[in-house]
Amino acid sequence: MEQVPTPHSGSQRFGSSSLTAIVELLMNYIKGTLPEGRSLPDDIWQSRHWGIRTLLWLHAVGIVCFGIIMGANLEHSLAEGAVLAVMAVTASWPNTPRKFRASMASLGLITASAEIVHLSGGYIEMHFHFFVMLAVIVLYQDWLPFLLALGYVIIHHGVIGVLDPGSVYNHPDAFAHPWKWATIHGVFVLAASIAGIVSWRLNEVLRARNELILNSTGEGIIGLNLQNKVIFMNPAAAKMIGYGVDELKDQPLQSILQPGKMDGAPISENEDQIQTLIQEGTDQPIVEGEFWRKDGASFLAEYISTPIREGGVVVGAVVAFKDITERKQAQAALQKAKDELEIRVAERTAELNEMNERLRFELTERRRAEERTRLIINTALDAVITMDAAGLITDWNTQAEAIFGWSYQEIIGRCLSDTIIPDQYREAHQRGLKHFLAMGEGPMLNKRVETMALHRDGREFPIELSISPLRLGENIIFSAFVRDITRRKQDEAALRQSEQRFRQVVSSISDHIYVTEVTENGHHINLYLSPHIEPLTGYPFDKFLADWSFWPSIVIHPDDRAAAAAQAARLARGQNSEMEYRLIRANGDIIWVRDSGRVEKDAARRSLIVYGLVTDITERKQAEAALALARDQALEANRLKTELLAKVSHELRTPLGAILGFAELLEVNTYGPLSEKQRQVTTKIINSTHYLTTLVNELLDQAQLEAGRLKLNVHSFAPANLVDDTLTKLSVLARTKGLSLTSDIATDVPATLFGDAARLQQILVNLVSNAIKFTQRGGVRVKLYCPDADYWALRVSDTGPGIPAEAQTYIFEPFRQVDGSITRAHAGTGLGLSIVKQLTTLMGGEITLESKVGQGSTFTVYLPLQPIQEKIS
Amino acid sequence: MKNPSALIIEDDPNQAIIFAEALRMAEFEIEIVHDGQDALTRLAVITPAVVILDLHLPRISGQTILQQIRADERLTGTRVMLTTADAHRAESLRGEADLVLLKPISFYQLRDLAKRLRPPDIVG
Repeated sequence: MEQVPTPHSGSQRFGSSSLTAIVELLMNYIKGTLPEGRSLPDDIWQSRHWGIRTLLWLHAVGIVCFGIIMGANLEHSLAEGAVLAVMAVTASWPNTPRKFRASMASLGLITASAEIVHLSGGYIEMHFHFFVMLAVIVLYQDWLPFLLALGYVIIHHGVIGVLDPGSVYNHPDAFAHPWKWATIHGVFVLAASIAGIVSWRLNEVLRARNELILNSTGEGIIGLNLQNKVIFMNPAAAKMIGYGVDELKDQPLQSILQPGKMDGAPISENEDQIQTLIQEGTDQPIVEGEFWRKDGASFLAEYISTPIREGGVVVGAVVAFKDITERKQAQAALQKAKDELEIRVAERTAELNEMNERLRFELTERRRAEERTRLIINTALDAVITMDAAGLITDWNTQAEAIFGWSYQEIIGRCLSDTIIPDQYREAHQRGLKHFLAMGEGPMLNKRVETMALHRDGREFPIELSISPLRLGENIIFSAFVRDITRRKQDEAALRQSEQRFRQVVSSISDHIYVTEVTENGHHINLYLSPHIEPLTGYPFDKFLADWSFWPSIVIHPDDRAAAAAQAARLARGQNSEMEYRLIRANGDIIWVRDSGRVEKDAARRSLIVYGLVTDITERKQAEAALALARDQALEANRLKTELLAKVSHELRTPLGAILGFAELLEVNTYGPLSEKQRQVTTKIINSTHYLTTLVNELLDQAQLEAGRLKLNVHSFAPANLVDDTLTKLSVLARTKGLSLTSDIATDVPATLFGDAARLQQILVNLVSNAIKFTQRGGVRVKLYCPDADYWALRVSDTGPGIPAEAQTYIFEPFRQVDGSITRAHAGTGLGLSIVKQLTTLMGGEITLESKVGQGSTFTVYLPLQPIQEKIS
Repeated sequence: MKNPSALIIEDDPNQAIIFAEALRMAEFEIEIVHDGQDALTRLAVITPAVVILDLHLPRISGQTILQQIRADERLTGTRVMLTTADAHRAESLRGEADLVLLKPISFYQLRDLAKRLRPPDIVG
């Protein structure tokens, strides 16, 4: 590896301390710094060579002038100049190697120096020209011209300087000591050479470094000049584009390397870019373009162009590019792989998502199912207990907590037989469990069993349970449904007791009780028959038990069978039914029974249940018959009586009518004028007839009332009118006796009432006329009012003698008068008040009497505002 | 000035005489029939202002005659007085007749009532 020496800094210069040491140092340096003689790049060499040649030509011309100035004659000067010119021409000889031309040039330059020295007559200062020339020759960076020049100088100084010092040195000292002067000059020439060599070397090194960079870099680097021609190309570039490193020298960039568009369309754009770059001297960003190879293939490259500046002026451009085909491919592949991967990932993710969803769904479902199960188990009315093969409780629902008194937390994991199985059964349980685990069967399993269980608080209680074994993978668990049947047991006992009692009760009833089931298709089934059927019918009990139809087909009286069948049909339809029919007992006796049946639908079995009672009603029937007979007779009697009444009514009234009528006619002189006596007698006849008519009416009323044949004619009427009419009728009677007769109608009495107005008038007339009859002085007052919300009242009060208390008890009885005798002192049948009372009662009212002897009497009739309809008996 | 006419339908002769006298006193022209059938025959022809009808007629009942009268358009102006011994019947028929009289009937009563039933005098 090449050592890159540190460049000499400007401070380390020659001309200090001892030459030997310096030389030593320099020798060491030289060893490391000897140039390796690499050639200059062509363009640089060319430009340098041109410069040097020009210099030589200048010298060629200048030397002539110099010679003339120095006093040499023209020919001499021209000759000197000619020599240089020849050298210059030789240096430009075409198709000669560079070394040759360079050598010529350098010799020419040194010749120029020598001529200057000569012409100047060995002017010492002119010897500096040699140094300048050497420095210039170093520019060739080539051994041959340099050594030739050096050799020339040495030879010149050594040979000519010694032989003819006058032409070389113009110093007298030099004549005397020519070797001293040659040595000094020689040393300085050497020093100058060394300096030159070193700088050459440094140049080389620097160049080498650059070259190294250029050569070692993987990037292709192309140098372009202002004309866009390739001035250099590094190996990488050459490799990439398939040309030799120097092949494209001086070729235009676009003709060979054609960075173009991706689609192959050649554009000058990028080139323009480079042009722009060159023209404007700006950096260009990294661009992608297509580069063409020598073999016609193209590749994608990434390149960046940078201007080359020399002294602030753009002299070219450097294009650094990279074959990014691979990169692109890799990228593409990567992208593809990435895409694929993404797709795969997406697919996979989707798959996973789906799976996840499914799992989640399943999980939810399972959880829900679990919840549901749990809910069911917890709401089950039975306790649900799960036990594992070791006999430990693994599950315990809410009902179990309630039944056994252990909470879930307390009992989970505990041994089942220790906790809820009573002592006496524990061993059996263990044995059973072992047996099942060994044999795979168990007598207690999968069926309902009743046994005792142990509550937490120590008491035993009956349970019904059902145990099922379940295989879950490898494990066996036992699931038990447990029901506390304490209540049921109690109920059963109660039922038995109740049934017992029922039987006892039924036995004690002398009636026959039966319970029959009537099925959907009409079959009758005896559910229960009381033992009384035997004494009732005289047939043995079993006969009925065995055959339901025995009763309807044999026992029932033939004439009643149809009717009984009808009743059975009614019952079958669900109608409760009662019937009375005859039975023929075993001994031939005929008895009457009443069969009352009540039907209930037994929904569970879709049939009817008939609950029946059969009572022996023979006696009653007989009584009924007798009663019916008596009733008929009574009815007949009544009918006759009514007919009689009707007839009598008519028969009595007709002659009365005649008597009254004619008597009245007589009175009005229809048959001639009457004498006073005749008139008086006629009046008596009339009065008697009136009286008789009243009697007849009262008798007839009484008879009717007794027979219950009196009907009320209920209509609406005005109570005020009732009162007024009555008073009108009787006012004369009252006036005759000098009594006042007044009425008082309360304002709260309705204007119309419902009732039998005629009968009401009868009542009122009766009361008022009685009052007038029995009162001697004062008057009679009639009051009509409403004592309360439901009743209205007629009150007749008089200022008569009053009625003694004892008389008040019987005064309303028929044919009774005050003094207990039927007298005619106070004309009347004694029926009046009786009729009044009966009528009042008939109307749903009430009559009261308030009286004190000497203080008058007050009769009050209370009647309902809503009259009740009379019942016909 | 013509007296209004009255038809007495009564089977009892005594009653008939009494009715007749009462109505004559009330200034009616009297016609008497003892038989339901005759009554109907007469009613087909005449237009009495007042009819005294006994409910208890033989053969044809007073009720039937009453219905006939009521059905007859010609006799819409005729006032009917029913006579009966049956208080109950009397009550039940109160609505159908203009008056119901319960036997025995006072002569005076009948006369006064008849006067009241006289149609207004036709001024001639």
